[in-house]
Formats: sequence, structure tokens, C-alpha cells
Amino acid sequence: MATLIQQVEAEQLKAEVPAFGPGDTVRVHAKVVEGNRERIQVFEGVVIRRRNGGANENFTVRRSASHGIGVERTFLIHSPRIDKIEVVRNGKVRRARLYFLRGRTGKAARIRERRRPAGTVGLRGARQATEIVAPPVVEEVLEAVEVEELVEDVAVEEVAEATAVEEVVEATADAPVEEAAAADGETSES
Amino acid sequence: MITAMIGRKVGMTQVFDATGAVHPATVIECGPNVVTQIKTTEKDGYEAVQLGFELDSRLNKPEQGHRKASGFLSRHLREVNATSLDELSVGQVFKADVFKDGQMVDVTGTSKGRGFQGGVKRHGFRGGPKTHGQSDRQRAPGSIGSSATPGRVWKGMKMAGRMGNDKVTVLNLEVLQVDPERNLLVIKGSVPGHNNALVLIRHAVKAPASS
Repeated sequence: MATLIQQVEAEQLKAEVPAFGPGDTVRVHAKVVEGNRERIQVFEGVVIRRRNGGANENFTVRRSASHGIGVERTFLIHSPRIDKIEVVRNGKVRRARLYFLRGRTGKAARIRERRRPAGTVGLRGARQATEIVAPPVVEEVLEAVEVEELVEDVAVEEVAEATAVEEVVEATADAPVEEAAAADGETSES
Repeated sequence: MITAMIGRKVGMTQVFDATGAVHPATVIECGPNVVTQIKTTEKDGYEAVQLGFELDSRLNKPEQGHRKASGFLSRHLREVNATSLDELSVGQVFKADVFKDGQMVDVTGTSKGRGFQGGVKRHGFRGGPKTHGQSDRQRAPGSIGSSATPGRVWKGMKMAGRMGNDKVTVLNLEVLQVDPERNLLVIKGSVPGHNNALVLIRHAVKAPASS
């Protein structure tokens, strides 16, 4: 049973949060108030840590601005001031806190891209409105769909599972395109 | 209407307001409170309402007898003030909606016990110098009095001793949320005592004029 504290916090949590973790490059759309005008400011950089903690769940993004000077901003994931979080690129890192990036600039601060079949990536730390049945793997999904087509009278539960996993695949299908675009952008810059 | 309620501190968290600002908040399980006795000037010499909170299955016969009229075996009893005794009756149940969003309240509780503490922590003494040949003086209390006159230490001299476990009242805390269904109050800021400690919440007696 959820504690009373968790119940109070649950009302404030966002229903859906994209999956991302340390090493990923994200684009955070944050609302900024200037005078009496509100506008959206985009902050893009590498996630160097993500901390759990109910309503206090937060993450820190590091962006290297001009002259090798880094800028870090910490965002509360469930803050109403965060309009949207886009995952631009999945990074391959071996630790949860990337503080070592603080001492590095330029080439040394690069993070290798993580390439794994779509479906295995992306579910780290995600919050979704629907319950995720199992960690989806692409091959299994395809089989499940085939089975559903061949055998008409599948148990209701199985159909539900198959469709649920299918949705996840659709959601992640867009990711490779974006990644490719991001990679192109980098090569043109260098 | 009663002006205070008995509650239990659940713990602390943080909440976002409409502008997206984050506020530290304490969640209090506030009620249901049952009226167990109404004290009147004619009978008792003063006016008050006695409230009961939480079920107790291990009360002795006299204790059960006192709570019989209210129809609920309350564990905790507290006397609180009321604006008027007219609409009150023994056995009446109050929920957290005695309080409203945005209003100011005072919260009374028993502070966390710190045990035997020295003067630096207990009274904010500065302690002694850290350098210039000092030894064993860093957290010493210093002088505690004069010599032959008065020839003794004054009563009430601030010294080391038991700290905490005192009755503490925090004034003017804002109510952020009221949930009468679950009997929860979310109050801005911290309140005295540990989690699950009994607290008394009352309408602020020194509320600022603006609220």
C-alpha cells in the first residue's frame, strides 16, 4: 500500500515522462517568465545524473557553452515549468553519475552512442500512463502479432498484451530517424 | 465551530503551486475528531470542547465510560476552544475541512528529543577560541558566574542538559491543501516532532492582516 506521503505526491506526478538516463542527450523545454511574459526556453545537453525521489525526482543537464565553459542546469521532472523533454540521442556510459565530464572539454567530453535494437533501449526511467507488461523485445513482438493473426480465437489477455507491446514499438520506431539526424548534424559541424 | 483539531504528523514532502514554484510541505493526518465532552461555564467554570482522536482497544472501564456518550473509544483527548458551543453536541465528528486552503494555522507538537547536549548546541554558545594555545576550550561554556558575590550559580543559568522533547508551537503556517476524504492537511513548512507524532492544529491566533 502506498503511504500517505506517496498518495499526496502521486497527484502531482506527470503521467508520462520519456525514458532517459545518464549519458543521453536531451532537449528540455522549460517555461521562463520574463517580466509578465512567459516563453519556452530550450536547454540541450547531456544528462549527467538522474535522481529519484517522488515529487522531487530530478535530473541535471550539462551543456558545454562557448570557450569550453560548461553550464549545468537541474530540472525537476514533475515540475509544471517543464513543458517537454525530448531525447535526442542515447549515450553509452558505464556509470550513473557522469561528474567526470566536468573536468573535460571538447573531444574528451564526447560520449559514444548506444546502439541496441529498438525496444530494448528507452524504457529506462520512463513513466507511462499504461502499465508495461514486460520488457519488450522486438522479435517477441513480431511473433506475438503473427500468432494473433493466424489464430483467431486467442485468449483475451494475450491480445491485450500483444497490443500493449505493439504500441511501445511504434513509439520507439521514431527514435532511429532522430538519432540519424543528430549524427548528421554532428558530422557537418566538425 | 471548533478552532483546533488533533492530528498526526505523517511526514514531509514538497508540492508545486500554480506557478510551478516548489514549497516544502508537511502532511498531517487531521481527524476524524469526535466531540467527547463539552465544558460549560455553569458546570466547569470555563468553556471548551474536548476532542477525541484515533481508536483505542485497550482502555480501562473508567476511560471507556468517559467516552461512552461520544460513541467512539478515542485514544487521545485534547481540549480546544470553540467560537460557539451552541451548534456542538457530544459525538459530533469533525473532519479536516475545519480548515480551508490558503488559511494560516498554528501547529503545536512535542519537539524531537536530542538527549543531553552541550551549551553550543542547546543554547547557541559560541564556544572558545580554536587557536592561541587553547586546549579543551572549543565547546566550553565559559564563565557561569561571579566569585564571592553571590558565591553561587544563579538559578536558570544556561548550561548543558537535556534538549528537545519540549512543547513547541509554530505560528502562521499556510494550509496548501485540505482533503476531507482522507482527512489530510498539507501545510507549508515544517512542524515540531517526529513522524507519527501527535500535533494540535489551530486557526492562527496572530494571522497577518493580509490573509
